[in-house]
Formats: sequence, structure tokens, C-alpha cells
Amino acid sequence: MDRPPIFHYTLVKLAARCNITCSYCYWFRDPEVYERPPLLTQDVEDAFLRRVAEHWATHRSDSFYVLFHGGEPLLFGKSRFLQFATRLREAADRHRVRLRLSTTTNGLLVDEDWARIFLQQRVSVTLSLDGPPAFNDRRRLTFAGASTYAGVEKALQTLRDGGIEPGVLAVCDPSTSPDELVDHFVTRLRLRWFDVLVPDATRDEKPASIARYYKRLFDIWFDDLARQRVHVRYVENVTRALVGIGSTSESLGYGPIRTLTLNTDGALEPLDVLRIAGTDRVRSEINVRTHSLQDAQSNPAWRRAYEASLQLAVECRECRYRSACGGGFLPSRWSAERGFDNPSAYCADLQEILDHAWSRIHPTLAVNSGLLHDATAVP
Amino acid sequence: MTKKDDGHDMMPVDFSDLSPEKLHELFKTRGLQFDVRSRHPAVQTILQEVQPGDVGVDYDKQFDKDVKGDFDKGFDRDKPA
Repeated sequence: MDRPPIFHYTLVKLAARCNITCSYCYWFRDPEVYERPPLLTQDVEDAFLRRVAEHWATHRSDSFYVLFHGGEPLLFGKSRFLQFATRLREAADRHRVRLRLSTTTNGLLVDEDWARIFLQQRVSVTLSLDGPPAFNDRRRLTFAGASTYAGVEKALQTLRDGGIEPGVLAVCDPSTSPDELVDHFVTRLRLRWFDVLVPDATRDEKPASIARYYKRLFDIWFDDLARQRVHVRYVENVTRALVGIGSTSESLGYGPIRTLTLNTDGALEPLDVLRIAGTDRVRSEINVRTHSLQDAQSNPAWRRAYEASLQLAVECRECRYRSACGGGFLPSRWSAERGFDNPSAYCADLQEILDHAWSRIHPTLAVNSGLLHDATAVP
Repeated sequence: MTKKDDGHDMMPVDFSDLSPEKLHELFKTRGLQFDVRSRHPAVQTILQEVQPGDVGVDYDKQFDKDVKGDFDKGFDRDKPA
């Protein structure tokens, strides 16, 4: 690593368990997670508070981002959540750090008390929902096989009643209609921010094609939603990446993966989604009880992920979308045979999506006439 | 031909011959992005995210912008719970 990054962000696993069972969940694809404490232990919480304060002082941080995640993070319980968030806020105030707190939840435990805690601690909230009931309940069910839709819809209303407007994350099911999903999200639920995530898959799998789905989603956004100021993160990131601004997502665009994950036992691990490529991709002897946050960069798994995110496969280096795509999401580059030295499992789809988006975007562009000659003269 | 706010000419360009990768190179080497506009309001909004003086993508700055810029948005990383 030529310039080790200073961490600005920690993904904190408040719970290693969940209260529902989603068919595609990356976390529980790795059975090793069941060997971790179900909830972030109190001594790990204490150690993290010490370490993050030390980190802010050492690196003179002026901003930091903590995302409470799981499993299902609200299994952590209201009193502990409130205590942890309060202590983080107090520490940030002492160090004059601007702290962003957020959580991603399936929503089933959300009630008025949770909404009050989120509002009081300024925790931004993202709900997971895969669209209308017919879509959502294909893959997001309780352990008894019951629908989760009504619970999430209720959570959305409870949060709104409490003064919080959440974002929503769906996972793409390419066999469904993006038009129906958008209609449900925008017309029925009145969402202004949502994303439709690419399903997790390594190169050793053969995921269903997503190209047709995302090309249509792009068109819906480009022709309609954008004018209504409804944000769809994936297609906006496709646009950002294509016009050279750089995607703000870890799943698209060339750039380093710098995620630091705190597991419930204190292990400081790389990007949690790498578990789909096997436990070894996240294995870490670095623990927040005994190490600084920056020490996570000495963990071979963290370093491999970071370096792989910057060292693209030869096919990617020669691709017309090298920067815009950047090999896609790092876990999707993994194969048992070649490690991360692959294009994405979705490579053909990504090229098709980017081709389509570029065909819509470039006719809208204009350039200063003084630079026209320079631009077209590039070989 | 259209006019920029400052009165300079803006020419529609056939970017189909100029791949995004070449556009990226231009951004990096010449800071061209400030002179690229889009007729599409959302694309134009995205183009305006780049501040004068930026050349290419500075990942520290980009991350900093993400953290600071999104404080008020209830929207986070791209993994569900």
C-alpha cells in the first residue's frame, strides 16, 4: 500500500443474528457467523469507544461515520442502543468530531420508542424491503415462513410519524418488473430515496442476468423519476461513474475498498460481504480490545481486499469502462481458482448496462467550444 | 449551439466517439469537467457536484464529501439487513 488510508468509517455489527430469514442474505451464507456472540458484547462496546476516541485524537479526525448493522441491529435492544449512541455522541463532542450515525434494519422491531431514540440520537435509518408484497415475500420471510411486508410498511409509517424519513433498500430480483417495483415505492409508499441492489454472487456462481432489469430501471429514472427528484442510488451512481464524477457506492466504480467491520466479538475485519467468498476472506486476528483501528490494515485479509480493489484483472484494465465500472463489487470478482483476479461475475451485464446508460447520457452533453478541439483530439 | 451562463459558447458534442474512459482521462489531465454540461437536469446536477479545482477523483475527498454531504439523508451503504 503506497498511502494507507485513515479510517473514516466503521461498520459495527450490533447483532450477528437476525429475526427473519432472507434467502439471499450474504451474512448467513457463512456459518462461521454463528460462532460469534449473538450481540456486540459490553466489553467490545467499551473497547471500541476507547479506540475510536484514540483514533480521532491521533489522526485529528473532523468527521466519522458509524453504521449500525447486523444480522438485525435492533436485536441489540433499545437501552443498549441508546447507551452506545449516547456515548459515541459524547465522545465525538469532546473530540469535536462530526459524527454520522445510521442503521440498516429490516424494520420489524421498529416502534415509537425506537423512532424516538433515532430522532434523539440523529440516527438515519434505512429499511430493507424488496418491493410490493408479491416481490418481497418471495425472499424475505420470518422463520415460520410468514410475510414480512406488513411489518416493514408499519415501520415506515411509525418512523414517519416520529419525524424520520427513511431510505429503502431492495435487492434486485431480475425475474420481476422494475416498473411494478418503482410504482409501488413511489406511488404507494411515496419514497424519495431508494436503491435496488445487485444480488451478491462470486465468479464461481452463475447468477441470473441483471442487464435487462437495470436498463429498464435506468430508463424509468432518466425519463421520469429524476424529474420528480426521486433518487435511485444505483442508476445515479452509474451516471456519476460514466461522466467521471466517481460513484459513491462500493459496488461500482474504480476505487479502494476501505471498509472496516467491527464484529460482535471485537474482531476488526474487512468488508463483511466478502464472507460470500469464504471465511478466510475476512478472517482477522486483530481485535479492538488489543489493537487500534488502524491496526486492521495489518490484517492480511484486509490488505488483500484493499489491494485487489485497486489491482484490476487484465480484462478490466483493457475495458472501455475501466474507471466507471472498476471491476464492479469486489466480492463478485472472487473465484476459488484465481482469487480476486477476475472481472465481475456480472461483467457482461455491467457492460450492457453501462453501454445503455451511456447511449442515453451522451446525447445530452455539451462542451465548451474552446475545449472541443482538445476533447476530440484525444487518440 | 447553446450559451453558458457566462456567455461562452457550448457545443453539442458527439460523445459516442469519445468513450467514457477517454472522458475520464480528460477530466484527470485537463479538468475538463467544469465545461461539460448536460441538458438532462439530473445529469447536470451530478456534473455540478464537482467543484472548481478538482481534477480526477480524489478518493479521500470523495469519501469526505460522502460523509459530510449525506448527514441529513436517511440513506446508507448498499447492503440490506
